[in-house]
Amino acid sequence: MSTWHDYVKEEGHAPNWPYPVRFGEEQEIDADVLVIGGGIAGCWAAISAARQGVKVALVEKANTVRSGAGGPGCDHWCNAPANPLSNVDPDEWAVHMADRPYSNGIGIQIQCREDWDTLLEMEQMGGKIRDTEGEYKGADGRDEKTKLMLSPRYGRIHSYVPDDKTHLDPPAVRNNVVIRVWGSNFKPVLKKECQRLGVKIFDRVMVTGLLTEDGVQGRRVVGATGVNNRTGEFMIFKSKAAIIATAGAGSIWMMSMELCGYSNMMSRTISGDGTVMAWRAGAALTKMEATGINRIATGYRHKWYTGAGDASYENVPIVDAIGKRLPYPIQGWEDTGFMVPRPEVEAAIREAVMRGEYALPFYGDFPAMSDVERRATWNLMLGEESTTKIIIDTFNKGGYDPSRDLLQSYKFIEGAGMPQWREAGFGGGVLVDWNLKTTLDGLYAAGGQMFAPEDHSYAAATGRYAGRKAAAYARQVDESKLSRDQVASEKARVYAPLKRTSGIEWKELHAGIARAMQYYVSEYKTETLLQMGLGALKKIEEDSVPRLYALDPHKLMRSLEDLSLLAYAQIIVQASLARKASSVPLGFNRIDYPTMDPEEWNKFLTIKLENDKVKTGFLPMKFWGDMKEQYEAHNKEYDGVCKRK
Amino acid sequence: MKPITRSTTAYVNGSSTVRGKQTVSQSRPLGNLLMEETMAEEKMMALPNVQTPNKPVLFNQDICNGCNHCVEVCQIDVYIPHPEKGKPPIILHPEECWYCGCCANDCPRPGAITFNWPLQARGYWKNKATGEIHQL
Repeated sequence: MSTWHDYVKEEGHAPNWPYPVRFGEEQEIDADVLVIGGGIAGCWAAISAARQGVKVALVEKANTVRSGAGGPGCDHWCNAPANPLSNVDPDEWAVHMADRPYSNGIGIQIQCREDWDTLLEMEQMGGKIRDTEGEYKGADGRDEKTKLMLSPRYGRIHSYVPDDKTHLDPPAVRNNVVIRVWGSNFKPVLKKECQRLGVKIFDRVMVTGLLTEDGVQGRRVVGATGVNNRTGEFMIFKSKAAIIATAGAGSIWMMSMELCGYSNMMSRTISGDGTVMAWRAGAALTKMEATGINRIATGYRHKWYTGAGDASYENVPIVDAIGKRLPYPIQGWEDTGFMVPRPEVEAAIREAVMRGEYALPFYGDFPAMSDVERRATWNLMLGEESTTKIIIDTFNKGGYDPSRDLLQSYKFIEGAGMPQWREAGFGGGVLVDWNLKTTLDGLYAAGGQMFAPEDHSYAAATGRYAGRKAAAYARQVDESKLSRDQVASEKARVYAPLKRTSGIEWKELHAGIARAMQYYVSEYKTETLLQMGLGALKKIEEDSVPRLYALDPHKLMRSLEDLSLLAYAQIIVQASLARKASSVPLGFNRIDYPTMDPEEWNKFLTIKLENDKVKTGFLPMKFWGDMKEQYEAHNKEYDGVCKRK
Repeated sequence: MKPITRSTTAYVNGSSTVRGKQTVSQSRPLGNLLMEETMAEEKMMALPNVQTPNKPVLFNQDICNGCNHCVEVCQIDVYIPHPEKGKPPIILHPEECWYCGCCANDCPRPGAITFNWPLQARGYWKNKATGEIHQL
């Protein structure tokens, strides 16, 4: 017996709710620095703030020990150009990385300067970053002296830069900026360090809204409200500085859980709460119009590597059904980490398949790899990374042997993703400055919460940085009073779905939002369609939201997440209406403004609420200024590897 | 024909064998003849369709001691603790599972949890030498 249905059949009744129910009860917590979201960025922010000697509270929807996209593990510490084996200058490398249109030069500079320091701290806490046992002796990229394992990723000039021809030529020397790590214990290590430093952790609490001075939109952030998703207890946090370290929104266009399990890139908890609470408080967001075709499983496609759809994603040569090698880059040493095939290569493969020159299906030819490279890929890379850890484990137990068996690839045979199944995970987020402060006093952001976020080590380095900056701010400011009216109105909003026992439940509401987005805010964008989208979402807000009901604290959390998704969707439409031009890097096609990336539109679009009215603005590309200069001006006191060099 | 004593009937639930009480309804191993008899005397509940997939993991009741560690590490509360102490958790929200694997990865009692990919998510491989195709 393990399912609910089994239990009911055995016992003749449903199990009781297993946790104490505390609807309406309040708990008030006072902190200098409040960290919202306990993933990689949040944990690092909490640790870094606590090390500054301030009182820190960390609030997490799940359990900090394994929560967030990096909860299960991490295999690559990307973009660590300050590491001792690096052959590039961190500041030059940062400028190069930030050359990608609509990237975040501030976050990238911080990552390039500080994520080697961050990794060394991780090692001190108990994270494994070196092959000390000599398990991978002889592997390409393994350094005998430091025992570090370099990865071929970013071995060439970063291949994401459009029109950058330099990536086609292998560099004379390797860049050596990416390090393989044994990250499956990073999250438990981070939680333990938080506890050791006296960070007060509130697990299973969803933060629902930010509190501002006198309850006024646009004023200093002085705290937040939350709800415990097991007990329903209402939480009031008072803070001098708050850091949002939540994630973006994972599933605005998609709702497919009943079909195949909710195998989205991220779990359903990734619902844009942080972005939306910042928005409601009056913080400016940017890049919110950027979307792309859903890259991942979402239940409809094969799930491998969070559903990237390809069994042999990295380091592995891909062959056809009769063993003929395909000209895909393998992102391995042989092509020094070249990540995506050029469009003409992709097209040539497709045509050759149609002519019958390549036989379907394709396979990842693990047996063709050398033993040590195969182990470094299968055991270390896939075995330590996030959701692939369990995949590797079940394949091993199921009898798959990478030295003997070809792993099926799902390229071509599962078809392309539907263009209307999009994702917002293309970089919309909170606007930040060189302190990682948002446009509101008292509010900072880190990791996936900022616009144009990057990977695990980026979340770690920026979280660590935001914690430091928020702690410094918290020490300067006086306590401020919470607005009791604001608390009361938020409490009423949070509990509203509990007041009803029928109506519309969260899954249907989510699916309704997703459908409206598929119709009106998808591949085809015009003024008319976008206005219809706005209308459809408004109708959902006016007709369906007042009927939203939740029967227990868990469903209450999901219902509140729907409200985040709905607001997030509306922001996307507003931003899409305001950008009157198409753009390749933003995945943004306006049929009524078809010219791609016209010069006058190469700028960031910002969007915020002012007196509850939507206000848009613009920032020039690279608005962050000279990255090295700005970083140094803002971090005179910081003593890291780069400074000591 | 002798009636089947269901208290001694075992039914197969994935990899684990579960002793059912009077209301055990699965009698697949007993064959058609006995099945008819079982069906005839069964008291049947009206249940909604089973959410599918609904078993992201299989618990081995002999190894699991109900420590609920999996309940605690789960990112989305797929599980709740069983009301009876020492028993494996109940899978309450299976359709919300995103298959991160933390529950199985972190289980302190090896073998207590077997990860159970939904059929449509089970990958294929091919023996390079023999060409034999396998599915997870």
